Amino acid sequence: MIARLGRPMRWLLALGALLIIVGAVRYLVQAPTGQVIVQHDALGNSFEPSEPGLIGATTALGFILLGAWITGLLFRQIELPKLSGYLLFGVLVGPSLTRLLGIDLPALLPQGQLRHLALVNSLAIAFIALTAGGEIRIDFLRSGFKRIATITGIEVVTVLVGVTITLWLLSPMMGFLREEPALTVFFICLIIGVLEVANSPAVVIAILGETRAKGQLAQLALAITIFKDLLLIILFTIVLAVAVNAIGQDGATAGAGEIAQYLAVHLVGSIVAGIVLGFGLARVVHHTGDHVTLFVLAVALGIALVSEALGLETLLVALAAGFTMVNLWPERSAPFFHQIERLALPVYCLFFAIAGAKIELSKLMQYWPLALTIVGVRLAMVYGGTWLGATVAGLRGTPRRWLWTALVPQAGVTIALIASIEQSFAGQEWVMTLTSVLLAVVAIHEVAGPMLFRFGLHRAGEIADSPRP
Amino acid sequence: MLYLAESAARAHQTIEALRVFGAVALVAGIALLLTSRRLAALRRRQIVAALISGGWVAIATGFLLGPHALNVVRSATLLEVRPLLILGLGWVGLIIGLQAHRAVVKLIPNSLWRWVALDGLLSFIVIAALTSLILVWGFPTETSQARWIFLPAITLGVCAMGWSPETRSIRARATPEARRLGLLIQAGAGLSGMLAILVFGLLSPVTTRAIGEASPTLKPALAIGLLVAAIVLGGIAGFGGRWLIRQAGRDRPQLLVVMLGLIALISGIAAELGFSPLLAAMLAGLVLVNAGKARLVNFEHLIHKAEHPMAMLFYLLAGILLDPRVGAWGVVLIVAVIGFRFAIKPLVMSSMMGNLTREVPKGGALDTAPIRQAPLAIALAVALVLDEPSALSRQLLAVIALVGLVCDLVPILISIYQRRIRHRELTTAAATDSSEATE
Repeated sequence: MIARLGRPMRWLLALGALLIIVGAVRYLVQAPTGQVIVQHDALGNSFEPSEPGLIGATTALGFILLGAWITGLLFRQIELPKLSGYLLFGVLVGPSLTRLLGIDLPALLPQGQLRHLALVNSLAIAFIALTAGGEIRIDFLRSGFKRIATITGIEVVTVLVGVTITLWLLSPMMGFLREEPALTVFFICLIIGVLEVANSPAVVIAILGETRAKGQLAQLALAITIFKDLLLIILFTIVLAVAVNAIGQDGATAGAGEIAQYLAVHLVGSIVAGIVLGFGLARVVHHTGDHVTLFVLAVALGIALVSEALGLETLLVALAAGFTMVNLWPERSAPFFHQIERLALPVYCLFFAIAGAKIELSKLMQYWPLALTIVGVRLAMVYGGTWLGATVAGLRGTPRRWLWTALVPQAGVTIALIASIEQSFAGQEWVMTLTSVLLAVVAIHEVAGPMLFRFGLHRAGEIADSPRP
Repeated sequence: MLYLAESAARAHQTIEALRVFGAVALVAGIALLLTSRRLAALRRRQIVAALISGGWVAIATGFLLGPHALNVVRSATLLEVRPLLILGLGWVGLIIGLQAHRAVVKLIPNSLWRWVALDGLLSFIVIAALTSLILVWGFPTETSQARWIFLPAITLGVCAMGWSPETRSIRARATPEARRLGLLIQAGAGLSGMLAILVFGLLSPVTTRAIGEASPTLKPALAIGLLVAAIVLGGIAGFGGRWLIRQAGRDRPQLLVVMLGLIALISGIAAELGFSPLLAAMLAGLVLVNAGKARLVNFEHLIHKAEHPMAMLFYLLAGILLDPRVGAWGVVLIVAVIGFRFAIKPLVMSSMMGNLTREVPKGGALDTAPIRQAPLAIALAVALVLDEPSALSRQLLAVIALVGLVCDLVPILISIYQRRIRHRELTTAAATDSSEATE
C-alpha cells in the first residue's frame, strides 16, 4: 500500500513516523523536576548523574537531521527553498509551539537539549563563512568594488534613516514607549533602524548553494551581504555605545577610545587572524590526503572555538581565511572547498532547524501588529534603497529589479545583536518588550526571507531550471 | 560598558571546549604524522605497528593530557561531550552489525561457531566470577552486594570475550594454512564482538540507577523489557534506514545526513531509555544489511571511511577518562585476567581449530592471536563510564586498558623472538652448508 503512494506522501508518512517515535520517547523520558540526588559507586565515591538534557541531545541531533532533511525534500516538491523547510521543521518541533498552544505534553525538542547543541551553531557559522569566503574572487571584487560599495552604502543609509524616522513618527502609537522621554524614544528608534540594516549571509549562501544559482545577481547578493555585515558591526557598535552613554544606566558608559579598541580587536583582528589562518591552511591542506574531511571539520570547529575564546568574530575569521585560500592558492584549496560543499547539507539542516526551534512564537503572537509594521517599513526601505543604489551604480535589468530580495532575510547575526541590546540596557522598563518585538520581526524575515530570495533568483533567470527573463 | 563580550560562564565553557579540541587536534596531528610517508619505515617495525593499530599511542596521549598527568583536559569537561561519545558508540555498533550480511554468515564453518561460543561463554563466566570475587574482597562489606558489583563484573566479563581481528603484526609466513587461519581469526573476532555486545546489551540494564536514588537496584524484568525495546528500535531503524538510504540515492551529502541522523537517533533513544546504544545500533546494522537484496555500497563505504578516526577518538577519550589509581584489587584483577587470556584462550583455540593450528608453520604467532584483547573492549569500557561516571568505572577502564596493552605486546614480542630464532637457525644452516661445500 505504501509503495503505491506518491513520493511526497511517503515522505510525509516518514516524517509522521519520526515525530511519533520521538514523541513517544519524550513522553516516556520526561525530565524530572526537583533536586538531583548525588549517587555513589561501590567504592563509596559520590558522583553526579548525567543531566537528562545532555543525554537527550544525541536524540535531538538525529531527530533534527532526519526531520529537517525530509521537510526540506517536501518543500522542494512545492518549489519552495529547502531552507524554509528546515526552518519550519524547527518551528514545529521547538519548545515554543507547545507552550503557545497550551498543550501539556513535553516538547519534541526541549530547551535543555537545544542548549547543548550550541557548539553545532558555532560550527555552522564557521562553515558558512568559509564557504562564503571561498566564493568571492578577487577579480570580481576589483572590477565591481565601486558598484558594491555604492549599492551597499546607499541601501544602508536608506534603511537606517528611513526606518528610524518612520518609527519615530509612529512612536506615539507604540504603547511601551509612551512613558519614555523623547531622547530615549529617538535612540530606541535609531537602534531598531540599525538592526533592520542587518541581513543574513548564512541564508544567502545556503540558498545560492541549494539552487546552484549563477549570474550577476548571485554574485552581487553574496558580496553585498558580506560587505553589509562588516559595515553593520561597525555601525552597531558605535550606535549602541552612543545610546548606552545617552540613555543607559549610571556608570554604564563607553568612551571613544574603548569603542575604537573594541573595533580594532574585533574587526581588524578577526580579519588579520583569518588571513594568517588562510595562509597556514593553504600550506598544509595538500598534506591531508584522504583525511581532508576531518581536516575541514577540525578547521571549522577550531575557528569557532578559538574565535570565541579570543573575542574575535567567527564569521570574519572564517570569511577571511576562505577568501585568502581561494584567491592565493586556488588549485591547492580546491579539495578543501569541495569537501566543504559535501559537508554543507547536514550543517545547514542543523543550523536552520535549530534557528527555527529558537523562534519565540508567543512573542510573535503578542506583538504581531507592531512587528508587521516594522517588517513593512523595512521592506519598503530595502526595496527603495537597493533600487536607488543599483541605479546610481549603473546596474540595469533583472539584477537591479531583484537584488533587494537578497537583503530581506535575517537570522543568527540579528539575534545575536538583539541579545547585546538586552544586555546593554538590562533593567530598563522598555527593553524586554523591545527585544520581543525585534525577535518577532526576525522570525518573520527568517521564514519569509529565503522564499523571497529564491523567488528573486528564479525571476532573474539565475537558477538552472528557471526560464530566462 | 559594552556588553558585546561573552559572559564569564560562557567564556569558561569555551576555554574548556578549546582544551578538548586541542587534545583531539593534537592526536589527529600525531596520527597524520605517524601515517605519513616519512615514517613508513618506522611503521614497518612490528612493535610500532602494533602500538599504532591497537590505539595505544592515542590512549597514552590521552592519559598524558588527562587529569592524572598534565591536566590539559579535565574528565568532567569530557563528560560534557557525552552526546558525541554516545554517537561514537552507535557508530561502532552499526559497523559491527553491518558485517553480518547473510551471504557472509552462511560461509562461516561450524568449527568457528563452536570456537566463538566456547571462548565467549568461558571468558564471560570465568572473568565475571573472578571480578565479583576480587571486588567483594576489595570493597567495604556494606557495598559487596550484587547490585554494586553486577555492572562492573559483567563489563569485565564481556571485555574478556573474543580477541583482536588484527593479524598483520603477528606475522606468519603467507602459507595457505596461515592465510586460512588468519581469516578465521578475523571472522571469529567479528562474531565474538557481536556476541559481546549482545550479552552486554542484555545484562547491563539489569542494574538501573533511577533519578532520585543514590544507589543502584537490580531489575531483571526491566532488562527484558528494554531488550524487547532495543530489538524493536533496531528493527524500525534498520528498515526505515534502508528506505531513507534509497531516498538519498548516490548523493553523498544526503547519504551523510541519513547516516549521521540514523546513528544519532538510534544511539540517543537507546541511551535515553536506558539500554545499550551499542546493541540498538548493532541490531539496526544487522537489519539494514540484510533487509533487501541490494548491497548498500555507497552507505557502507561512507561509514567505513570514518572507522579509523572514530577509533582513534575513542582511544584518546579512553586515555583521558581512565583513572590509574586501581589499588590492590585492581592489580590482582589485571593479573587474573591476563593469566586467563594467556593460559586458557590459546587452549580453547587449539582444541576447536586443532588441525589448522598444527599445520601453520612456526615463525609467526598466529596461535597467540586469541590472547590479544578485542578493540571493542575499550568501547565497552567507555560505555560503562558513560553509564556510570564514577571513580570505579574509570579505574575499571584503566584495568581493561592495561590488560589490552600487555596482551597486545606479548604475542608480538613472541613473534619477533621466534622470527629471530628462525633467522639464526637459517643463518647457521647456510654457514654450515657453505663450509661443507668449501671442504
